[in-house]
Amino acid sequence: MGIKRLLPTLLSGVTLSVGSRSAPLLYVSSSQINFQVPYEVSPGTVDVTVTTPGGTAKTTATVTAVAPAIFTYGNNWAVVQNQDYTLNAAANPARVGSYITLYGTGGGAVAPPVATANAAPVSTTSQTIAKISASINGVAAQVSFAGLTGGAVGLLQVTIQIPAVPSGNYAITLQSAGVTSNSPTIAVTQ
Amino acid sequence: MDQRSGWLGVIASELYIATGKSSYLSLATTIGNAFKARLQPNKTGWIWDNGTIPIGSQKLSSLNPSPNDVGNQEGVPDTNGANAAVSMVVLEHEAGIVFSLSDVQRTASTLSDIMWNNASPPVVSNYIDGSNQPFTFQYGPGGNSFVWGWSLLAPYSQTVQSFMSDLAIDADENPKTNETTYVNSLYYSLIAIFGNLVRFNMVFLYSISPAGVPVVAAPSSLVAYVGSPFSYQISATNSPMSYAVSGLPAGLTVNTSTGLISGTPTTPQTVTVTASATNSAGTSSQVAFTLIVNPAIPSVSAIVSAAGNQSALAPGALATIYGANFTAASAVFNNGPSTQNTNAGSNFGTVSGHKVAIGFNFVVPTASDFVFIGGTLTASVSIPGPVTIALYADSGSGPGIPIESMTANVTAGGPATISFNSALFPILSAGIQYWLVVSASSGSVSQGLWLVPDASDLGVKAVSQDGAPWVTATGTRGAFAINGYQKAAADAPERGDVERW
Repeated sequence: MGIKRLLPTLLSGVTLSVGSRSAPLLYVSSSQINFQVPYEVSPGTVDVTVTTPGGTAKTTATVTAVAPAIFTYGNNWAVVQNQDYTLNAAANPARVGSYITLYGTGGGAVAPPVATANAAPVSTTSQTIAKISASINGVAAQVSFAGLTGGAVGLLQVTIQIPAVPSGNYAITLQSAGVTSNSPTIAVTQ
Repeated sequence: MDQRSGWLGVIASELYIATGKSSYLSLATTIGNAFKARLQPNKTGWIWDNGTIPIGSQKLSSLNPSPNDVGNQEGVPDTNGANAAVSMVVLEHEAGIVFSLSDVQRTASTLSDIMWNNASPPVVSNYIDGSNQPFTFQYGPGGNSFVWGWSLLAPYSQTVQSFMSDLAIDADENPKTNETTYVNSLYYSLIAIFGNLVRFNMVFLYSISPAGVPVVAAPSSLVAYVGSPFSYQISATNSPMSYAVSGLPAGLTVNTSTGLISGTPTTPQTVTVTASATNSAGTSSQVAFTLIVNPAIPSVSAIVSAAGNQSALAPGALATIYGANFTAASAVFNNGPSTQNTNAGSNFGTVSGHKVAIGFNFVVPTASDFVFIGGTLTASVSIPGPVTIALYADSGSGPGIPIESMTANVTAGGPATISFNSALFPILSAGIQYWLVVSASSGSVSQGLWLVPDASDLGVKAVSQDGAPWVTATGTRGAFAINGYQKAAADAPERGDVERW
C-alpha cells in the first residue's frame, strides 16, 4: 500500500532487548509487553531485559531457529479462517478438502527476508525457509503456503488443506525442523 | 517530700505488685506525682555520683543536701531539690508509676549543665570516678568492684525503653547493672533485693546538654521508587529532640520525633524537601534536598511466544513478556514513525459509492478499553483480487504502525462477506485513535464493516455525516460500523466519526 511500517523500539518509555538487540514493540501495558524477537538473534539462551524509567528487569529466553505456535481464541480454538474467510468454530467447521488459513508465529527465517520491525510486504510473499508441516488429529495435512501475512509484523500465515477425517473437533498442530507447536482445536465436517 | 518518700513510693509499688491492694498503688501514685510536680526544667539534678557509695543503707545518706555529700555533685548541694525529684521520678517510673513523655522530657531538662560543669562536650567519667576514662567507670565497695560498661551515649530517642530484666543483685550483694537511654539521658539502675518483697532501686541518671542548635546534614538528592518502601533517617548533630520536614511526596511521612522519613511513594515526581531539627538550644537552619520518585521498578514473571504460550521463541516471532510495572499507562500501542504516502490514490476503491482514500479512523469512545476481535466486511469487487483489511494505531497524521491485518481474495461479482478475525486480540484503549484501512488492489470495495468489541462493551458505530450511511452489516451485539463519510487522507481524525451504539 505504499506505507512504510516500522515498529518502534521505544514505546511508553519502555525498551526491551533480546540479547544485544533491541526488540520492536507492539504493545506495552503495566503487566505485558508484546514484541518481536529480532531476526538477528541467534539460537540459544539469551538475556531479555526490560528497561523502564523505573529500572530494569531481566530474564532469559530460549531461542530456537523455529518455534511454531498457533494463535488461539476462546477455549483453545485455533485462529483459523475457513475457505470462506469465516472464523472456524464448533458451529462453523471447515469442510474436508477445503483450504483453511491458520495464523501463528515462530516460523523462523523467511525468503525473501523481511527486516526486523518491518511489516511483511503485501506485494510479494515471504515464505518460511524451514518447511512447515501440519496435522489434524494426527493426520498429515497438506500445507500449500507458509509465510508471513502481508502488512503485519511477524505474523505467520499457513494455508492448509483439510485432510480426510471424520467430522469432529480435532487438535491441529504445526511442525517445523522437529519442533512441534501447541495443539489448539479446529472443527471439521464432511 | 524527700527521697525517703520516694523510697516509700517504690515500696508501695512493690507491695501493690505483690498484694494487688489498690491502696498501695494509690499511695505510690500519690508519691510519684508529688515528685513529678517538683521537676523544674533547667534545675540542677545530680544523682549519686560518688563511686565509693555502697549499695544499701548508705545510699540513703545521699538525702543530706550538703556539699561533698553523697548524692550531690561535688560541691553542689541539692538545695533546689531537683536531685531528689529526678531520682524519685525515675524510681517511680521503674516501680510502675506511669509518667507521660512530657514528664520524662522534663526530667531530662531538669538535669542541667551544672551536672557537666559546663563542659562541652561532657566528660562523663569525670563525674563518675574521676578516672577520666570516658564511657567506663567502676563502682563497688571494698574491692568488690565491677565494671559497668558505659555504652556510647545513644542517639536521641523518645522511646522509653524498659528497664532491663536482668537487673539483680549477686550473692555478695554487689549489684549488677544495665543501662538504657531516653531523651538525651542515660541512666543506670541498680536493684537490690531484700527478702522476697522489697526491692530498692538506685538510679544513676545522666543527661547531656546540647552543645548548640542542631545542624542538619542533607544529601544532595535521594531516589525512591513508586510502590517500593523507602526510608531515610535525617542526620543532625547535637541530639535533636524533634524534626520538621515539608515537601514530602505522596506516600511518605516523617516521624517528627526521630526524623525518620518512611513510607511507600505512590506517584513518580521530583520534589524539594526541606528539613530542620530542634533541641533545647533551638532550631537548626532549614536544609533542602531533592527527592526523586522514580516509576515503579519493573519485574518479569514469564516470557512466551505470543501464540500458544510456547516457551521457545524463534527469530522474527511475536512474543509476550509478562511482569509488573512496565508502564504507568493502561495500555499503549505503538505509535512510532508516521506513515508515509498516506495518499492511497487509485489503489483504493469506493465504499458504497464514497471514495475511500485510505480507510477510516475512529476513536474508541467508550469509558473503558475493549478487545479487538474482528469484524466482517461485505465487499464487492469489480476485478477479482485481494482485499486487505488492516488495523492501525494513529500516527497523528494518518494510519501509523499496523496492529494487525488480513488479506483475502475476493472473486468478481459478489458481494462476498469477509470475516476479519483478529489473531492478536489487541486491546484498544478508550479515547485513543485508531484506523481501519480497507484496500483493494483493483476495482471497488463496498458495503459494510463491523467490528466486535468484547462482551462487556456495547460497542461503537460510525455516524453518518452525510445522511446516507452505507452500513449494512450489523452485529448481533454491540458493534461499530463504518459510516459513509468521505474521508480524505489529509482529513484530521474526528471523534464524531463514531458514536456509542
